[in-house]
Amino acid sequence: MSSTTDSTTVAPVRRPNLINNLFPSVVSGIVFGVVAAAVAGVLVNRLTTALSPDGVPNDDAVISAVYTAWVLFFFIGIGAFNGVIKWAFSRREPTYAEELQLAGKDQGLWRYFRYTTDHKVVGMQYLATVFVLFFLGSMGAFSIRLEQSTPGAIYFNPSTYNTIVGMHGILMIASTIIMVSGPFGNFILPIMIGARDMAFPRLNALSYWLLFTAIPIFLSVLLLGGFQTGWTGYAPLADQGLTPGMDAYCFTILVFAISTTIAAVNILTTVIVMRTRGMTWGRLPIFVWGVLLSVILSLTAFPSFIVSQTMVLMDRIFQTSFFLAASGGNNWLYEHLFWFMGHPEVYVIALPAMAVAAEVAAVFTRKPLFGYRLLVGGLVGISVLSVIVWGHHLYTSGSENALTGPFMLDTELISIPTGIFFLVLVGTFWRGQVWVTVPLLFVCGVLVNFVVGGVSGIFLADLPTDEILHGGMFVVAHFHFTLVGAGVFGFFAGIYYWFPKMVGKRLDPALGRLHFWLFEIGFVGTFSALFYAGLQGEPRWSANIAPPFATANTIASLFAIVIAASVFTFIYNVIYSLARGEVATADEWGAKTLEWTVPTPVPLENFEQLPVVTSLPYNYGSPLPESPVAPAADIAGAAIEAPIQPQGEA
Amino acid sequence: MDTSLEHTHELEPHIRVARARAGVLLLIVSDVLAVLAILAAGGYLRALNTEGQYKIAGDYAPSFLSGLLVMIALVLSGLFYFLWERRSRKPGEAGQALFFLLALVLMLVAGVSEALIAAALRYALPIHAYESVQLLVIWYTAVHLLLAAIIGLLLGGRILRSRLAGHEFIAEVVGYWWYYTVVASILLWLFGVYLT
Amino acid sequence: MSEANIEGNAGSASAAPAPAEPRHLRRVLIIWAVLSVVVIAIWLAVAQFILPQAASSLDVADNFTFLILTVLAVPVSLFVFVFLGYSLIVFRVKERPTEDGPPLQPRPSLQIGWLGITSLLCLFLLIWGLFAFYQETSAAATTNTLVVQVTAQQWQWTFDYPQYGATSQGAQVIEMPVNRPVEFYVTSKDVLHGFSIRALGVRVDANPGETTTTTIITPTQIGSYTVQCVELCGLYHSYMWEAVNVVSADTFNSWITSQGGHL
Repeated sequence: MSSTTDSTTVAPVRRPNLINNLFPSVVSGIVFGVVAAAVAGVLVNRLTTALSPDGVPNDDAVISAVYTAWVLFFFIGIGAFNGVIKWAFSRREPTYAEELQLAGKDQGLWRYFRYTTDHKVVGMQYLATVFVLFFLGSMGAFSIRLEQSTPGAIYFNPSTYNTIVGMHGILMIASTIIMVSGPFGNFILPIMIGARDMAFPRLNALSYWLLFTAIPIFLSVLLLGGFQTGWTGYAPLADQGLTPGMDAYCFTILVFAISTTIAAVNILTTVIVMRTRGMTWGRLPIFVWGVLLSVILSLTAFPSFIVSQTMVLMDRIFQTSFFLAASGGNNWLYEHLFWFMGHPEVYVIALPAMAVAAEVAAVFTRKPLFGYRLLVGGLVGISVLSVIVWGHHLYTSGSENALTGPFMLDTELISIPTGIFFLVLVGTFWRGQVWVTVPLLFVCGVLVNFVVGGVSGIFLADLPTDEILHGGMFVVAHFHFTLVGAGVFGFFAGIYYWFPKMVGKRLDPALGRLHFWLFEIGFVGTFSALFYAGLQGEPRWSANIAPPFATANTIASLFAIVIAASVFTFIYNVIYSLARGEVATADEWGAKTLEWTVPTPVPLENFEQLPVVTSLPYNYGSPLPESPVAPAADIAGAAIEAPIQPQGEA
Repeated sequence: MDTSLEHTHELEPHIRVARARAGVLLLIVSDVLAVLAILAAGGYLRALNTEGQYKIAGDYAPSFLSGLLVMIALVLSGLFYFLWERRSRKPGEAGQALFFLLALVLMLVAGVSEALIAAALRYALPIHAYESVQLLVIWYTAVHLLLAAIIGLLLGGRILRSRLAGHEFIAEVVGYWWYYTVVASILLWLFGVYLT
Repeated sequence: MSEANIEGNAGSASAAPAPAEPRHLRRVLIIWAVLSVVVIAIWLAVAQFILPQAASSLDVADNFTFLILTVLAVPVSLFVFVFLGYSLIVFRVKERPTEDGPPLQPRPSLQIGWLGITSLLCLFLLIWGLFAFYQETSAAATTNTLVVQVTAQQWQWTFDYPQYGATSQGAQVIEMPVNRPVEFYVTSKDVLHGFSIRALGVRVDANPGETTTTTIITPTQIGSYTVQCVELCGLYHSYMWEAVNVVSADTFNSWITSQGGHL
């Protein structure tokens, strides 16, 4: 930064009239994007018609051009490239005032609709988007349960049903991937490590708005005839040219994967580089560890996903044959590429939620984590192992049968570090001052559901049982118990825990308890019935339920109504609390991590003076004896050497 | 010390350098994995030779000579970038901007040439697995080279405006990406040759 | 066991009276043990009604593996449920707590003990699984083995009997003689399908351009079962199921002749 810039030389403040509000903002982004997309579509249509031997336009190429133009021009319209151009061609560095302007200073609610760099704004944007995606995915889920409640395909035609299944899948996968890391990884994590913002604030805004641009692309799947492959997008079914909706799906994945990769680089760099003084790796709150490991996994996993979807697009647009057997391609290639991503990806979903559960458990039992280093080791073990187990999705594919044994070995091995997670959490509860708040209820939900989900995974890891269960509803129940049971329940634990800090209001605890019990009962009921159905041999992706499985599916659908009730309870709770909730205090729960030491609402740069940390934020009771770093200063918690000074005091 | 918020935002210099390095290195890691995925895919399809249709008579690779010329241009580009960057590391000296310009131009030429080579391939439909992999490799390389050229243009802007002083780490960090692009492109090209 | 280390640690670190602590741990362990036995007993009793009918020795073995894995799963899951439930009931405070809980930490012996036990469990599962896997895959074909070629396509199955020159036509039904080993060779004409007969314990993907084989199984019971597609293959995936009839040798022979084959 140029040190010669005088603090009084500020760029002229823009007058807040409507034009300045609208441009640049998401509105101008959408306008630019839509216009450019239309133009690109028309141009490529004419071009491919002229080039093609029989005068037929290449629909897949047209669609790809439309989406590329949409994304590119959306970002031009929202002003994302302004910073890039200025970085390269401006005559001076940005002033502090300009940086703060970009971070949303003095812009009121408009800052949520702009390319705002403040991590708290991005966190709230992610939160709102996650709610929307999760809600849409839930609607898909209820449609599936409706169709499966009676034998025969009655409510939807086969094409629509397959599309609903696929949309439910990808909406839930996408929303659970970002569910904890997006809102809390952005809003809370920098404060938790004592930083003022993320390492790359502009890239932070970029990763969010990429997600935003992916949504219309995804919704256009519906307009383009849907897609038939389910979220896994298996080729060569994906190569079949039934409807252009498949191209929209591949594009959504590409944009989403790029968004997540950028976010992963951002979070990783932030944690590596921007921890405050005294915040060593051994004093990092467990939540940060969970998010950190999760983004490392996503960094390793998504490149192969991107490559696989690019190959599908190439097969569709250019008639290549990566996956078409008649011209030398092979569907095993797709399966390997996909599951090399697919397996670490479920740990991308689970790890942050597990870490939230650990974080919340310590606070509401007022005890240190029962083995912080043990837990970190366990999470690291899970992460490392998760990269080398993808073959267990291919036991029955016929590919590489010789590797079935080794994959069985390392898949079983994952149960060991997962067991450590349970030991630590159960031990944290043990003999604690167990204050059963709504976040803690959801942590209990995580533990109960995840043990069932994890144990059911053993059945799938062993070949003898996998060969009677693979591709059936048992698998569906297994991954719902893990991803929803741990992932979504962990998210809800986090939202009830951090809502007071992020929004400044309390979520109503009575409604919260109702939400929890409705969700847990409905969830366990639905998926236990599906465990049974899967055991009997019901295949996945069935609109047409065969009579032997009818009763189990009807029961599952009835319980799903209870889940629906829980979703609406939660939505009501959020809206009600936003409008009329009690105002929350800055230190709502008596926790010891850094985010509770800043005021609510959190000021723009988080800390007046960056704190200095001297111990883990879990020294409840008495100080931990064997820490190699300097001993804790006092019993009251993570002692901060330089307490927050009131403004103006030197 | 003035504790008003407006002035507490400044990041310490060593943090700025560290984050730039970390960010670019992580992006390189991500890209390396994508390249590895492509290599693995090519090798796998070749080993499988499904229905004997991996490569049929008449399938051909992009012209070896043009590829070689592009790779030579890339090596030179990397070399010139290195020479420039080494000089510019000393604070206050601008470095021989000529070397940077050469590096940039060579990268741009290489990128455009690669795109032209790719566009000139007239593979008969349906494109079999071998040619599919060649297409992917060559387009991936072209995109990479053009991306590096764009980054180079942006850096060039900064140099033109004399805003590199005090920010030498930018040259170093862009250098990481530059050299990586050169190495990855050569690796992919060699792989394409090997597959033939 | 090593869990006693928790109480050892607590007794030294906190001010709580030592005699009160062993009571908790002992209690919860007893509850856990008793509940485990009870639930396992219930499972063993009802399993025969829950597990579907097995019509081949392989499926019997697979169902048995399922039984054993569930028996192991019960104490593992109950560990979490019981400890958690006990903590929520006994250690609960009604409102915001005024003091902290004791700073318990796992002793090294607990950590090693825990890792040891989970590793042993894991090893057992692995050995069981590998043993079953090698048993399956090492079954050798005899001259008596019936070969059925399965061709999957969107959205039906076709079955060829190359040894007899017969093809299952019309209703796409597989007929198989009882007590005779069968091997399936599976392929697909278009996209990925999943060939699965739950009652016989066979399941393998149908890949275009590749032929995969199932393990050699021997149907042991006469009856009618189902073959289903278990990989999403497009519009009518959930209609892609057909009947599988296991019949006597005579019925099979006459069926072969009726399908245009020779004996």
